[in-house]
Amino acid sequence: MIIKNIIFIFFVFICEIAYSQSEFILIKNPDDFKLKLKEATKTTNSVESDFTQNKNLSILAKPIISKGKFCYKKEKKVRWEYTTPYLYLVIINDTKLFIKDKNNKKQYDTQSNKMFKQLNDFLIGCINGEILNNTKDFELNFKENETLYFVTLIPKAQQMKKMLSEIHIYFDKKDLSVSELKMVEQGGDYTNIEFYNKKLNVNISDEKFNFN
Amino acid sequence: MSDFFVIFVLKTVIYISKLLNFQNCESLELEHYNSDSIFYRRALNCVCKKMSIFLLHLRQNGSFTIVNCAFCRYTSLKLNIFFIKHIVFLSLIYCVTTLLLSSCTLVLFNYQNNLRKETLPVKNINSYFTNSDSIYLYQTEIRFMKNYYSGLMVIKSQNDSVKRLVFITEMGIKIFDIEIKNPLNNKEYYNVNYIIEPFSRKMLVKTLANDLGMLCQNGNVKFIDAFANDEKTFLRIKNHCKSFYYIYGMNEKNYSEIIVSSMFKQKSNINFFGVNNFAPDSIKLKHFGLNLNYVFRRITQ
Repeated sequence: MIIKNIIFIFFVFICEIAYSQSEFILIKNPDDFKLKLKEATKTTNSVESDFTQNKNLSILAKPIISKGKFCYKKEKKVRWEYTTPYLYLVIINDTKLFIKDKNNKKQYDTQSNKMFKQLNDFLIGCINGEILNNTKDFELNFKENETLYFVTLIPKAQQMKKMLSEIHIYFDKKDLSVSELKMVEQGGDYTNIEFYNKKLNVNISDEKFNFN
Repeated sequence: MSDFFVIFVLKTVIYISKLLNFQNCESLELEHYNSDSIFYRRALNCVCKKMSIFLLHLRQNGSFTIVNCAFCRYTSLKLNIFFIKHIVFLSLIYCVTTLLLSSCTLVLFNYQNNLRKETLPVKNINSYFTNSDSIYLYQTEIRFMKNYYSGLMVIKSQNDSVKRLVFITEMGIKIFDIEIKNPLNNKEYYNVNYIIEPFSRKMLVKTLANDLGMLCQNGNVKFIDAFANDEKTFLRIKNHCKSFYYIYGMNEKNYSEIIVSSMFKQKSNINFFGVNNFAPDSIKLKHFGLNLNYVFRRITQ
């Protein structure tokens, strides 16, 4: 009986630690965080990272998992590449967007297409932190715990609201890089993207952002 | 001139141009002149490979003149393909060409065409996506006219008759979420749970549900025709005024092709490749008339 009680207390204690670690509290002064992020992005010239994307649908018991590589280079160069279980590549080079899959490749000008411009601004904004100043399109909430900053963006524009109800961005407190991105749809389905093996300010050749 | 008549005339011209092997038009525009005023302006799409626009004038006396071929390389061509004085004669041509085309469809499945008649089997149509414990995941390409969309199609069987089809982009954005009841037993067989704004047009949704519904046809059916050659068995059922030919290879338990035809022409064609016990490795669906093609490739996680 005593052993049972000890195990129970130990279990509660462990749960308590886990809970306290994941509990986020509101940031009193978000401007400090924004300033810190701005300073950090100034010194970040490139980011290279692996990512795992989990697509959670209410009809599925398990998420659809896809993995790939992500590269960013200043000013506006992004390479977003899925390697498993399918091949899919998105390259953003300033105002040009390039999409390639197994059988097709296509180039778009983000200036001429509103939807692609939004996608472009959103991705770049997440990396350089400019999205946190976009109070016109999003309602922002800032929270933190011991290891992460957690920003919730609630879209204001009707068109985006129909697609996404919330966007969650988690920033690592160590280097203020994005460690997780969660896009919650109306109805509760969501996409979660975790970034790991992050390398900041490594030399990435421009060829990676060329369209071929 | 009524709407019906304009479309009727347009269809005739499309058939004639097809018969003449006039392959270079994909879209056709009609202007109807009544002495000095334009009544109607219509555009219809016809099944040809290359995009070009022909401006077609239908004059009051019934003559057709292709006066301009705007975008294709035959720009300089000015054709006067027909000069028909009476619209009655035009109707006659329409009927003849329709008959000709329909006979082509019939010939395809005619018993004389190396096919022998078989006794009607007692058999169920088994959709490939019936196992409710499994998730069917396909990388999907949809080509519609000049547009190209790619993403992932998730097919989940909720029970014997209801399937849920969710199409998401590779980056996770949901495009549509449609629930399809077995089209063989239900008149109103689809329900849209979600569709992204640019796609939420009634005709588009109906076409999508109609095409994807063919993958979900399942259950006990009454075959109205059965014939075979040395390699394949053709079984025909009828539903919603359309004929569905389920084609089985010899010694194959399940079908490897579905051909859908209306009374006069072939509507669509679905090929299943790499059929195994679980699900096909890939599926090709061709919707004739709309220039709409789907390719599904199975992803294993």
